[in-house]
Amino acid sequence: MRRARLLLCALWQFGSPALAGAQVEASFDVGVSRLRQATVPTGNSFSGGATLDWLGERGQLRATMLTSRQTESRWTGQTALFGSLTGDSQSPWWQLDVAASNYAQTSAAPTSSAEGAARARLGTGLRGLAAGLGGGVSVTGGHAAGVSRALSDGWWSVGSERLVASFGWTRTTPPPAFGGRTISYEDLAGGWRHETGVVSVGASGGLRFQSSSGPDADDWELVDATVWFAPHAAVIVTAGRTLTDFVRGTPRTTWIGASIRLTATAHRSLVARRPTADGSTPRLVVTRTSAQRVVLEITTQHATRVEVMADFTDWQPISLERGQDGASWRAERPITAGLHRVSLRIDGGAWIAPGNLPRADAGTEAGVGLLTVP
Amino acid sequence: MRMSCCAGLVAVSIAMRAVGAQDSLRFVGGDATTSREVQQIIEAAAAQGLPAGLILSKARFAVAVHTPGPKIVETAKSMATRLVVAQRAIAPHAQESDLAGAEAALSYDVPVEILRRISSASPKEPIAVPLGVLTQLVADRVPAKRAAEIVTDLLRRGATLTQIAELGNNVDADVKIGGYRALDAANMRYNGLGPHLAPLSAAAAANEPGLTSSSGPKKP
Repeated sequence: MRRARLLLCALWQFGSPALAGAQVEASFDVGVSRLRQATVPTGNSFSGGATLDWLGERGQLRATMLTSRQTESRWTGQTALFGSLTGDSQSPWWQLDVAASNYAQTSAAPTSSAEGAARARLGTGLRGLAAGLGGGVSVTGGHAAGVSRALSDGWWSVGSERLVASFGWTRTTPPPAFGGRTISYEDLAGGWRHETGVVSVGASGGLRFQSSSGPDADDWELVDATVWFAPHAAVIVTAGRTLTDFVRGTPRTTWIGASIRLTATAHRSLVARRPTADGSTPRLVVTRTSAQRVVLEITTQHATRVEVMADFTDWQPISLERGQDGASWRAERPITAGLHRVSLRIDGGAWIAPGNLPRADAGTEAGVGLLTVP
Repeated sequence: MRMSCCAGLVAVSIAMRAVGAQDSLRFVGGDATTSREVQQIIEAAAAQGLPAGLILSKARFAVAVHTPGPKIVETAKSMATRLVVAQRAIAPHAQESDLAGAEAALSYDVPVEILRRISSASPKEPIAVPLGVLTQLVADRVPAKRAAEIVTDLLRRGATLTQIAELGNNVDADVKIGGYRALDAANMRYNGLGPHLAPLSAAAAANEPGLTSSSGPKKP
């Protein structure tokens, strides 16, 4: 039991950005789903998984592991590793991808695959196009087959919305369980995602077209929603239908499921933590109205006079004007962009730092806040 | 005759401007010794091409809050030293607001290497706002390394100065009102901006899980 606790603790710490590096995030999922797979009766499934994401300036790496208990005597397990590397600029023109996977199920030979691809890119991370070629190998039991792919993708982000489309051609020789003949097919896919930080909703789907000796034309669909109800926990609901993955050996599946995701990295969530006493100090909000001028605004109830002094007032107090709502106080001044030191006073009291700003160093700057003006 | 008149006017104009500049950097406050020593520091900084007005502003504030004279002199000296370091660290950025941000970051023990990294992340644009947010995060006890990563990532992903400034101006409120740790609050604000920006890695843009033909649809 103690070992189990230590293991959990170690996993938690491994996911902590402070210890494991800035752009590392680990998450753990547990859930239930109802699913139907080829050759298996429809039933309920319990699943557990872990994902480790590493995000760098030029690349990303994702490792996932998922295990599922579908019946008393049937288990499936899937591990996968995806990596990408791009050119060194904000609009890189090339991208290299690698993917490796292993899929295993009770009483069946496991399937392992390894692939690589190179793509030429056009555009930026917000919107762009990519096209390229890839290849690899898929091994099931003693059966090894080469994989050839031609890939093209497009992506477009506007605000919280993200649209993605792809078209790909694949040629491989699947294991005997999937026919055993060399096939080729095209996949056309599209997707949309709405992401606010607290809620993420996505829908995607695709069509697979038969080519030489390939499977019949078919389609797949996927919808999912993630809600972060606490900084370290989210509930996820998914439903969909996937097609047979001839390269990774996963069968056609239809499912609906729900799971809980736990992560070490804090997210914006529906639930805020308890307020502290210091939260009552008025906030200072700045808005640039022109290249030179900035509006300072403080909201405070029941005040009769609000003053600000700062480096941009040459440390001379200036009075703010009360707004029509009676609670907001404003002043407009020319202020340069960058860091400024500012202090405020309510009704002639002590000079204090605005509640939303970090305090400047103690000593000569007690009661002064650090404000960044855009 | 007309030429000599013009030359004389130009000379007077230059002299007046020099006097004006000196007056604008004149420090009056505290006792005579403090005034003299601070004034010497300010003039030495101006002679080195440093934004001496920043030292003057800080010294005036110290007087306004009745800081003892020796402490004012010490503060002015330290600031002048940091400005020299800041000037070298963020070159070729030389605007006063950029130097003010770099100096403030140094006052919170942010390593010079981090300033260089931010300077190189935005070589052609002013970096006063990113440096300001860096300083705010470090003042909030976010580790300098992580704070620098957040700022440089936002720059590289095309965040606007308003978005960057809002992050710095709100993390402290999340700590005080939301009850979060500063690091968590900074990460949350950073993650919250993510959907509105280019992906952290440009590679991620083309690798939306479940959508690319190379990765195939996501399984349950």
